Amino acid sequence: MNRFEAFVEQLPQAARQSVSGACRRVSDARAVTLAEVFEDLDAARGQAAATKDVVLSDLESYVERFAKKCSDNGATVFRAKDAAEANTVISTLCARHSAPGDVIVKAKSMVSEEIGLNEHLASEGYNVVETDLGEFVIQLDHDTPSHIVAPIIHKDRYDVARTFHKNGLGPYSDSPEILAEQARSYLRNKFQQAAIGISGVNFGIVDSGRLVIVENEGNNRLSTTAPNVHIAVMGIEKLLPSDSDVPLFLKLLVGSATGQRAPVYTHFVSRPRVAGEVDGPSHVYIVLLDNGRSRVANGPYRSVLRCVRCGACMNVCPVYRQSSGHAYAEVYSGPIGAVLNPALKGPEAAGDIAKNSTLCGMCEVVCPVMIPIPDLLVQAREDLAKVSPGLKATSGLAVVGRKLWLWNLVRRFATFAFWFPNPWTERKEAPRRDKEDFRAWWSTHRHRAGSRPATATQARTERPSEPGPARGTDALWSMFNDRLVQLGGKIATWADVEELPDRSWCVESSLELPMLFDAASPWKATTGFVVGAVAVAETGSVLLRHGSKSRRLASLAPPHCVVVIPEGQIVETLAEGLANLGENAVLVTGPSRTADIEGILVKGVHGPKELWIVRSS
Amino acid sequence: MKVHLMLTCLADTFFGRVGTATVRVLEHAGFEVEFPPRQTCCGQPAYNSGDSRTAIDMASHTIKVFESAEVVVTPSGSCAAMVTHGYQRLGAPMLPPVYELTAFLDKFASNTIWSGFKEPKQIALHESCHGRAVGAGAAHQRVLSTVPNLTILPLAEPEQCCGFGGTFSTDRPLTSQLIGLRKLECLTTTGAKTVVSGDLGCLMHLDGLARREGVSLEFLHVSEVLSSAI
Repeated sequence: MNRFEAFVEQLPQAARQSVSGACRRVSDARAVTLAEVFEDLDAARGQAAATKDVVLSDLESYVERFAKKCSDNGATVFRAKDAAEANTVISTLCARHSAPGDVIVKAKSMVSEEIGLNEHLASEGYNVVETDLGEFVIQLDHDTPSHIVAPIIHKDRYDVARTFHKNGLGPYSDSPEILAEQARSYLRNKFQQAAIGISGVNFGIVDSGRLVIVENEGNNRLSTTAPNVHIAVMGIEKLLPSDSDVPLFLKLLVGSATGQRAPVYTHFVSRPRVAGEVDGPSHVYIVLLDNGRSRVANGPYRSVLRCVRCGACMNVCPVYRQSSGHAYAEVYSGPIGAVLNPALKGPEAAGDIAKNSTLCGMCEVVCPVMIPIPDLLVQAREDLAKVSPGLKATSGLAVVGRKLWLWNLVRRFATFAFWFPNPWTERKEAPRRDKEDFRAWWSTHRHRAGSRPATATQARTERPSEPGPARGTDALWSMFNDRLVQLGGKIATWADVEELPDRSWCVESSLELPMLFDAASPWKATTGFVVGAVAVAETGSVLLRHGSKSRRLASLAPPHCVVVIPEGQIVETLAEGLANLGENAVLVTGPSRTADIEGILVKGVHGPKELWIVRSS
Repeated sequence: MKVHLMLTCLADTFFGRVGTATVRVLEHAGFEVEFPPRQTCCGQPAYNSGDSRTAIDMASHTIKVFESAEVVVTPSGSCAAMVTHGYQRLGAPMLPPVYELTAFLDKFASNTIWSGFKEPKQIALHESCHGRAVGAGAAHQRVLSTVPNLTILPLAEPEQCCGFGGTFSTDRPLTSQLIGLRKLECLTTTGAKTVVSGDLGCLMHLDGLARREGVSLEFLHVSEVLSSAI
């Protein structure tokens, strides 16, 4: 039995059920949301694939332009050719801004797993704290993530409860809400203590030199807002040509990953804090990791670099559902991992990981960037066969299959093969050969053809697409309200605000509230007030631009956030909403949330649990 | 129209009744059928396991066998996908158009009249994965919906593979079995006593598992259902 099957055999049934249940739920949510969001999903996927291919076909020049733009914006850019270089760059930066033993907060990043960043920083004496709920559990358990989006998909709430209890996070509870609350209170101090926050990146925008980072919990925003230093690590394939590509990729990414219309937080990082700004990191470092990607971009596996790490291929994969990500024994698992590992490392180092697929093709069907994963799996198997010595199991086919007498002989005795012990009969009954042999029947069969003429098919009618009527402001607010309520937020009035029992408030300086309030630090306040730039009806989102008068933590640290939006500032689509991003900004779509524990939605993790939007005339 | 039948190695070796049913169905729909006897295997087992040399040998052989055909029809979504998409990728394209059986009927003989069944017959339909790539799953649904007294019961997780995967079932036999058992669970839950699919690989795998597990289900190829509805 090989390593993969050995893992599958010892996997507890409870873990298998956690994995397959969560995969089913997310796959279903994906299908529903994407059908609602896109009139023509395949056209959208095709456009996304083509956009990525433009970048990948000329990757080096895009990377150079991006690096230059980021530097012009005031970030400091490093290029690392492999894991060792990236780790060295990052630990050097850590040494510059903190001392061994200091807390470093870290948001979820697959590329940091790829380079083994946590182990490296730990070996240098730093106290790296994972802040994503799932990754935090992984770190406490000394485990590894088993899914690129849902790291603890293999654990259930009781596993998490035992871990938290054992580590003294609070009294034993297996309620996902209480567990999320325990993680929140434990990690809040860490955000305040840390001098450095490390994050991954979802998209790097070449024309604007902007980093786009998406998340649901708020830990990523806290990690990259509260500390004075932000270090962002990204693979060089994460680039998109321009800001106008963001709405399409955002919708495809989160729709595919979690079935959301927009992530709770989409933050746009384009520069460090400048003089006059209240908060945000003074230093932004960007580490661009190659680690084999340039080579892959110039070879047969290029399209695998389109990957946006949504995990949809894992969720839908029948093999993944039964085996879990750990069976693949790699950082990147599932169908995408079965291609990415051979592509990045070569066939010898990656072994037979590409064989962990039935080639059913659902991965390609759901891939938001149309990566032909089954073809690439076959390519990886071919590459492996080329470096494996000896005869192939199927070599004999070329002999038997081209001599009819030999073929007939094999046909006749085929059932004998099942008489001997073999992997088939170990687990299922051998096929029963029909008494009727087709060739024998055919030789005596009399043709009765021509009895009915063939006819053409009827033309099939496609579902007509209805162009939506132009919507007025009231209609847009009503649409916005529906979405916001679905997400667990609400449109509030000033009267609602006045009734808030606890007036420990943190207010943005540009906002003049029509009532008395108590100023508090964002970490102490119960409610934070900020001004939003624009509301987006189709997703129920609000865009907050970070300028000299803004206080980013006001929308982030207090458990209750109130966003004031000028009455007329509402648009219908995400594309309109993101058309004028300014510099640093965040798109907020509902209250902070997580589904890390058993895929159960919990409102309020690191970011605010309550989100109110006030329309201001 | 004259069609060339690509029988598939599984029908040739184990399931002769499927070849017979396919010919009967095609003739009922008004087509003349030709069977080139030198055909053997399309090479998919070699292709899927990365043995591209053997796959190319078998592709060349198969292309030669069917070189005079106007159109090729096969009772398998999997083989249809191999000789179209797979051959293309190997750089050995098949010249005549190749159709999976029901995709062909749906396109060229959608007004075929089926007598149907005397007693109401309920089935669960397992759409094979490779069939999806050549439009066979949707075609099964459309063609079977024209058969009187036949009902396709709703199936949970219809997009999920049965776990066969050709050489996967011997490379990863345990995982293959687990996937298959989940599929059997979904199929049994429909309440149907008969499971229909367009690919013999899926049927052979599921039937073998069901008999080992003591699950009493009848497994039929889509051509057999149509043939008994003539």
